Amino acid sequence: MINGRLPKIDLDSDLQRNRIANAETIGHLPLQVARRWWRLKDGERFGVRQAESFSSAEKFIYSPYAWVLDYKAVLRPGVLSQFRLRSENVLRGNLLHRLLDLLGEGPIKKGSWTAITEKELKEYVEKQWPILLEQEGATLLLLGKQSEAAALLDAAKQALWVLAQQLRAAEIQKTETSVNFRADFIGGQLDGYVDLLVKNAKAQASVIDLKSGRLEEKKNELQTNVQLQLAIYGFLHRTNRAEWPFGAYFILNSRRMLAQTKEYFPLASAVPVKTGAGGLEICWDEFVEMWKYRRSILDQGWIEVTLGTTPPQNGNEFPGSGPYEHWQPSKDQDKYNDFKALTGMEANA
Amino acid sequence: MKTTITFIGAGAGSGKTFRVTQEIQSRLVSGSCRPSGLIATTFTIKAANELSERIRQNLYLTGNLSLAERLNEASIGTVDKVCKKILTRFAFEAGISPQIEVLAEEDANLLFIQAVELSVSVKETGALQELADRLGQKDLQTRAYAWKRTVHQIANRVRENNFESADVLGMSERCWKEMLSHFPAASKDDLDAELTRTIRSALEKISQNGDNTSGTQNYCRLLEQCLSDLNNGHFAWSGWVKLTKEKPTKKSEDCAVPVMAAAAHYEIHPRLHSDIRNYIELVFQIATRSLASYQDLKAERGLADFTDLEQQTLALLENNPEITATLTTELDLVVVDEFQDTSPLQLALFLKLARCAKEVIWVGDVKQAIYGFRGTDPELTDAVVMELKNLGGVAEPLNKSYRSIPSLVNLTNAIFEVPFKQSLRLTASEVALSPVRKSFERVQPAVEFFEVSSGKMNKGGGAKRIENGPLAQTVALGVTRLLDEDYQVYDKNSRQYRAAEFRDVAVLCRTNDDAARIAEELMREGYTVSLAKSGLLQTPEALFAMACFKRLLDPSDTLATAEIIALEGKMTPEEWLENRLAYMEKARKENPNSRGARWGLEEGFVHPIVMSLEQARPALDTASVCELFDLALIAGNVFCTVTRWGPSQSRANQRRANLEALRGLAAKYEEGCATNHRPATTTGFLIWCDDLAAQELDEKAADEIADAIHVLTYHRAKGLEWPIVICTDLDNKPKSRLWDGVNVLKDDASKSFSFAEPLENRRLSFWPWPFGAQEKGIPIVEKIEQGEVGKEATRAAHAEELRLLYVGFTRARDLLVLVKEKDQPHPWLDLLGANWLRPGQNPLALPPGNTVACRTRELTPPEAVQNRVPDKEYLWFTQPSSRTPKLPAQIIPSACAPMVSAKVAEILSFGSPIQMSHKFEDDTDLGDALHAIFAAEFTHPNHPKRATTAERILKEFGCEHSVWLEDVLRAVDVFREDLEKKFKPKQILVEVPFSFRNPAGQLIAGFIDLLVQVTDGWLVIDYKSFQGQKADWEAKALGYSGQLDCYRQAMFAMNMKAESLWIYFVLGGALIRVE
Repeated sequence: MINGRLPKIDLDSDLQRNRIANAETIGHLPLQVARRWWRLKDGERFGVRQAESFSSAEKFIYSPYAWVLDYKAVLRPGVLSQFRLRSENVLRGNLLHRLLDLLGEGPIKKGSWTAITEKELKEYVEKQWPILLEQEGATLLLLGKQSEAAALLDAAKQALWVLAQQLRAAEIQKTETSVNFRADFIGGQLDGYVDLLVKNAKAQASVIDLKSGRLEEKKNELQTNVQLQLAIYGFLHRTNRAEWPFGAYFILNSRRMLAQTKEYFPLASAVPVKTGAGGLEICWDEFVEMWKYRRSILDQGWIEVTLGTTPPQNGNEFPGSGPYEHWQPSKDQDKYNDFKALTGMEANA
Repeated sequence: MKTTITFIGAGAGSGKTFRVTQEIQSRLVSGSCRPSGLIATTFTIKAANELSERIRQNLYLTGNLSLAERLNEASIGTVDKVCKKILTRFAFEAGISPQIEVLAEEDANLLFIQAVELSVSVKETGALQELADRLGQKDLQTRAYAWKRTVHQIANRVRENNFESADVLGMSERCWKEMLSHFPAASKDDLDAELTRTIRSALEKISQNGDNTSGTQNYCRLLEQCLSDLNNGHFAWSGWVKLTKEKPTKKSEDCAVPVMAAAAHYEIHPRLHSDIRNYIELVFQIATRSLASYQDLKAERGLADFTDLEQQTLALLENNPEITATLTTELDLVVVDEFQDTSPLQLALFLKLARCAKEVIWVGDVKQAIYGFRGTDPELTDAVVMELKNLGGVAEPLNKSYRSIPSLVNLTNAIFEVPFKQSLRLTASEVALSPVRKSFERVQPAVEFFEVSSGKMNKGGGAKRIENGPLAQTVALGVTRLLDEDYQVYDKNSRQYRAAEFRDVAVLCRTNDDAARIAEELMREGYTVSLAKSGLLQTPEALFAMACFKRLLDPSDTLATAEIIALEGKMTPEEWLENRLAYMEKARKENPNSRGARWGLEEGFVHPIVMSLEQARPALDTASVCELFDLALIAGNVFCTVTRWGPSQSRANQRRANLEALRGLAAKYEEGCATNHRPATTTGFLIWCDDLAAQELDEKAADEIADAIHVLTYHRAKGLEWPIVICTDLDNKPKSRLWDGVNVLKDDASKSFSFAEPLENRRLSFWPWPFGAQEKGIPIVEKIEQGEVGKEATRAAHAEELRLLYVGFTRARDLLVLVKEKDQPHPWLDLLGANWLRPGQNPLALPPGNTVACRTRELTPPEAVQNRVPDKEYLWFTQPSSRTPKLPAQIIPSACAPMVSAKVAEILSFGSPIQMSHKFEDDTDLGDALHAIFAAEFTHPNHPKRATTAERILKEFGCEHSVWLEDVLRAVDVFREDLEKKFKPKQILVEVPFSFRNPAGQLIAGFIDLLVQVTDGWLVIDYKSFQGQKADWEAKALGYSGQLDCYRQAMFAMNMKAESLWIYFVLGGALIRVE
């Protein structure tokens, strides 16, 4: 007969009291705590790359650690990751961009944005959509994703019609989609695809970049005149076609055209610069200065880890600061950081 | 009612499990309940295990061994488990397979999502989206559409209440009609045109009045946006409301007046009315169709979810009188624990079971019914208890508190007596408990206030409201101070008083987000915190383990390699990055496209973990996902590494617990794949983990006895207790479920509950909130909320919040801490109507006249975080313990290794040698041919066509030129003669098949060439076509000792005695006995 209660064995507690055979004493080896600055012996391994794009240039300016880890240390996820579902936002963006390309190749090529009717546009998008999904968005055909696909189609139709109205109001005469430009700049060669390049009745050009969301972030960029993507496309256009264009973002989720003024797009939501002068040229000039600053500190072997967990005051070992305070990384950048586990942890993580 | 149902009310800490154990045990011992005649349902698996173990233990202790052993015959478990047992038994009558595969809750949710997809057309999605855009039916933070969640809620309520699909659509009509009945009649005017006109006019006037102030410019931008949305048909109703409130600066105020007036017409806008109606109708329609698809999907896969089990059991009991008759002869006692948390469907089921049982006991506490938000119906359970009261079926409630010290019991009695009398119609004796525990000898407070404030003052006086972050820091500071003061608690296990430790403290929060904030601040202070919250996959230990797993799977994952090296902590970022850059420079010189995948494996830098993972890769071919994950943990030395991280022993324990939780996820993934008949793959597991994290379902390990400060929600705290409980978020404003909640209401409010038809007179109600982020200053909403419907919803919400507060306050054993913010309202706490419960008093005077020792601790946010000193040493296993190697599932006898202890005992010149035309490198075919000829000859001795048969066999094996037929036939004859002479066989068996499992569970199967029965057993003979010299016979024969031993075991398994084991060299003509 069992007499009394069965014993409770707390293995953790036994371990701490060294009551478990073969357990050995090991020393404390803490996790590396996130630091704002990494200092390498020198910067000779951070030389100029063959070509930069907007994404790499953005990393160079706002997340130099990510630029180094990605392009210089070549730290990449394995082939298994290719089978993992792409982030929904990226997929949404890609599909919408492709729809714009298809429109450019199809009805817009034949007619123009000013001529196309709502019915024509929507019918064309509906016709292309199943083919596009099969070719480039098959994950949206999975069971469990159809309503998302349907919602995206609906959003695309509405957004593209609003875009057509915006272009019509701006009296656009000519449109080009996915225009590839190249040009030399201080960091080597710059390469980019402009989503939509338009020309109005006065033969003035404007670059338009399509975004699936991030309305507030883009508004903030325009307000602080750090619309880097538009400035890069503007510079590429200026170099290739000898003219600084206007620039605007078109946000598909909220069906809004965002520009600093209504000068080019009368129906756009105007987001004026908060202080000082605005425009792509000024933005580009500041970018060049920022690039020089980043290059100079990288050349000395300093790498800035610009994360929420490493605010600028963290350690602050690096003597000096950048030329412009308003060139700050987006608050969301930590969310999409592939290198989170490499940049150190918060204290007591 | 023929059966007597007894309801036992059991207040918090009143010894409910003890009482239930006693009730069951006494009936088992007296014989009034047979073990097989007992059904006891509990709310959780853990509670079921605890109950059955307690009963079993008591039976052992009282000498009722036989009863204890027969307790397995009883059905003690969660409701679904008990239903599954009944359905499995009566599967034929239920028309289902007895092999019931039950879907886990998460899998059921995923399947329902798929069902929704199958039920919604593209057109409907578009329509829903448009409606949702205008009505603002979106999550305010994520902007995700709310309709899927609503559809899921409707479907759940439909099933929990056993509604017929046909009735549900009728319910939707009643919903929108009722909602719109509170709105004024729709206008026939063109209200859009009117608003457009006023906006244009306002913009024009402002452009002319020269008002360039930023306020007016912002207002103009708002008007322009509204105009654009109006034109596109996307103008949200929240936008209309906003226009009734927004103004430009003073100079242009007049311009805005017509806009405000035109916008205020939204209440009578026919499109608002139709939007509400269409939205309600659509979500109900989709829910009904989705439910049908969901049932089909499960049927296709042969699956059932928890609700199916309950529904099918109910149907079984309703439609099969012979089953109820059988159960009536068998069921002696049905016990339902946590009765207040039963869903309506479960209630109907319990009532059916009650009719079959001789005796029924329901135990619960209506004061702790807190799951209204997930489908339980406190009103219904209250009504049942009231009915039982009227029928005299309510026993004396358990009125003693075994949990808390007397001061705390008195305090909660004084606090809750009046509110529960009002909201639940409970008498004082049904609320109050009498304390059993003794008071502390040492004088110390039983209740404490953390009176927090921002430390900053408003311009108009009064403390500035404290923000969430600093509030969490302040609570963490309070905990630190409390633990630094040697507060005494009573240790239940050692039955002694001792200083409070981390594990004694629980911080209760209203929401998961609040809990996460507090936990983060406590962790920042260096405390170990136990928090049942998602985010497991983002913990450093999970990142490290997953990096090892990914590197094991894929050497090209250089990111994973870097993560391993960085997280291990031996190298600084500068060190490993320099190393990697140098490696890449070299690698790219050799190959410009190199990915540098062999980093950490080559001379100059061999990283032990990376190398160990690389060496473990051959296992990829055969191991399952779980096995590979374990392999990654071992090869990656993960447990040891995360233990070294500390910074304290308890944090190290917690990290290892998180790794165990990860292992649990791998197992869960494999189980889910098995249930859903899907292949389990490593990539599939990684994707599944991504999904879990995205849905915030990757819960960290949390254990109520862990050596950590426990942070959890009030809801999760139910059923648990701690010496010190800190109640936060008392300033939370109770929110009714009038808007956006899927509620179950009485169909006819005048009718009362009926035992005969517990699910009758019920209907669904859903009113979508139509004004998005706009919450205040909406006259129509104020009118509805102040009306009867609104008041009733508020009353129900307040009643549930009151019960939640009761759950929170009664978790404390020795000290209750209330967090109050100075000079701020506390709507949740105010529900108690206990004005006397406020800081700054010692002792605290209770209304009945007694007092409680009380302390008030004034706290402001700390200036800086004080980091605790990390522990320097940890104990763990530096060498992985040796693991029993995995044995192959099957053993092939001829492949068995020779036995070291084997020896040759005898060599006989036997039969006649067979000469070969030449030597062969591979004599397999000749061996097989000779086997076949010997077998044929022993099966049919002296067959007239023996020569033709042997010749054919040799030819078929391609050996007709290898040996001479005559030689072979002579060898067979002489062999047979020698056998006869030497052994005098009683019986000869040829090619005897066998198959058995050895003690290790391995399958051994094969054929024994020849068995010769002699007086003492059987000779086991195996033919070998060995071409070697006589001198090599002994060594060669010993080489087959493993095979012969298999035959020996096979003989044993066949109950045949192997007298001796022999190898016969057919070509050499030798019989060799091996021992």
